[in-house]
Amino acid sequence: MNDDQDLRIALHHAVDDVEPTEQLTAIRARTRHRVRTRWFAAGGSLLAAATAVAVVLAVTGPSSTTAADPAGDSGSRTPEELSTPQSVYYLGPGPSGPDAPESMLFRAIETGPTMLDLLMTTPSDPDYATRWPRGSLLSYEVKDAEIEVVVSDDAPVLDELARQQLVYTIQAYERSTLPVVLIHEVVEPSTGGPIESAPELDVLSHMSIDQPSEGAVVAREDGALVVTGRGNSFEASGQCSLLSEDGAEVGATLAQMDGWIEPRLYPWELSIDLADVPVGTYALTCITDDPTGGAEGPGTYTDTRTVIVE
Amino acid sequence: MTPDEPDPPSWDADTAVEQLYAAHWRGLVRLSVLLLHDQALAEETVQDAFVALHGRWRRLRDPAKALAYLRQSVVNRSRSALRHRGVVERHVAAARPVEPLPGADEPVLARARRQTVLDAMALLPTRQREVLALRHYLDLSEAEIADALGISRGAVKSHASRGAAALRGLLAEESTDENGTES
Repeated sequence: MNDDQDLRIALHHAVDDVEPTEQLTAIRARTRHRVRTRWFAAGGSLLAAATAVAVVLAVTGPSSTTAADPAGDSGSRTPEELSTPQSVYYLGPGPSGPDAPESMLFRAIETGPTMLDLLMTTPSDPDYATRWPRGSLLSYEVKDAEIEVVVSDDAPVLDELARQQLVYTIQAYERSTLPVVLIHEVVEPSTGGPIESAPELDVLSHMSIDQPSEGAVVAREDGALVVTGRGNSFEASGQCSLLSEDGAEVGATLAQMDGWIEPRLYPWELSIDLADVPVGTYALTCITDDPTGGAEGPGTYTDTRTVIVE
Repeated sequence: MTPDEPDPPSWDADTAVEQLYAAHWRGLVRLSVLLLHDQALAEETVQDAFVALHGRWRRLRDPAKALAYLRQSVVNRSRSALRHRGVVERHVAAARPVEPLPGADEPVLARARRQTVLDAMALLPTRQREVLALRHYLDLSEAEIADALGISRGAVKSHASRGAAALRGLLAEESTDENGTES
């Protein structure tokens, strides 16, 4: 059975000198973060959590940042080239459809020049939006106890959800749980206390697709469309359907989440069989379960992607 | 009757992640590099798989199953990442069957060879690439590969043989090309 020794050698040679960097610390930080959000969530509203932390605020010395250093070049992290897709949080529809527009955050995997740029760019998914206009975020720096973000003086005053959009995105990128402090470029340097990430279920959509990305092309020969995401739903179950342009369902699979009891998002992963799916453009629609049919609670959460089957 | 020994190891999620990280981090990243052709992205992908495993640990409990889960997760996530990274990139690569080695200023021969294999792998259809990596890099059996990819053993067999032929073809093409153009 070993006529394939040549391939074995070739593949080993190809990667045997790849020495991965240490990432256990990052993994620990990310898995710890999940547990920590539980504590926060017990406290209730996003506002409560945010203001509680704001009390800790120490007013930053007013003239410590000057116009001479507009881009924060001295030691600040200025935009770096990104060669890999990044997690970016965007605003999207809340529960029960479009009448509650842009009331929750969704994680999207986007590729762009820098993480800050991505935050200031219209996302590729038309259901998503950002509140950070181009030019509003200048640079950031990870300090010992906080992440300092320099915002432009003419950046609009943004609401808590927009701030959480920034906090979640930077924390994901830096694999950090440090709070974020906003600093104005010149005028009135400190714009408030450290902003902690709010409890997940308060700000993140309870149904969110990670993959595929908007407009992804799948080959029928792959046999199945693999869909991954995160969510929190009644009895840990949601559903993803593939809908044709006229709304007909051509495939559906249960999204079985890893849990639902704790107030956080749980990952799920599923595949939708493509064997009987004709070539075409489809709306992949994932939705949480609401056993009350809307009678109680916020209703169902939805996330969608356009998918092209070739 | 001393029930002292915990028969399946009674790791909690944190310990499981640490143990599996120690034993398999490097191998899984390398597997993902074979699939993705990009170390940074591979590390991120495998890191995500570990984080997912942590969340799922209570259901798995068994380290053997955990490793199978990790592998499957790495393959699926690599596939998604690749797809996401761009249809565009893939089409560009396909239109350029023999990728020139990146830059004449890449002096190390070993590195060039490694690039050649990775470039060739990148040109294969997804399934063939996955089957070849699992079979010839991780030495998995047909049954294990079938489980990991969620396809039949017959399909594994056919992807393996077609993939092997295609990869050999590409590598041969590349080496004659090198000999032909550069004295």
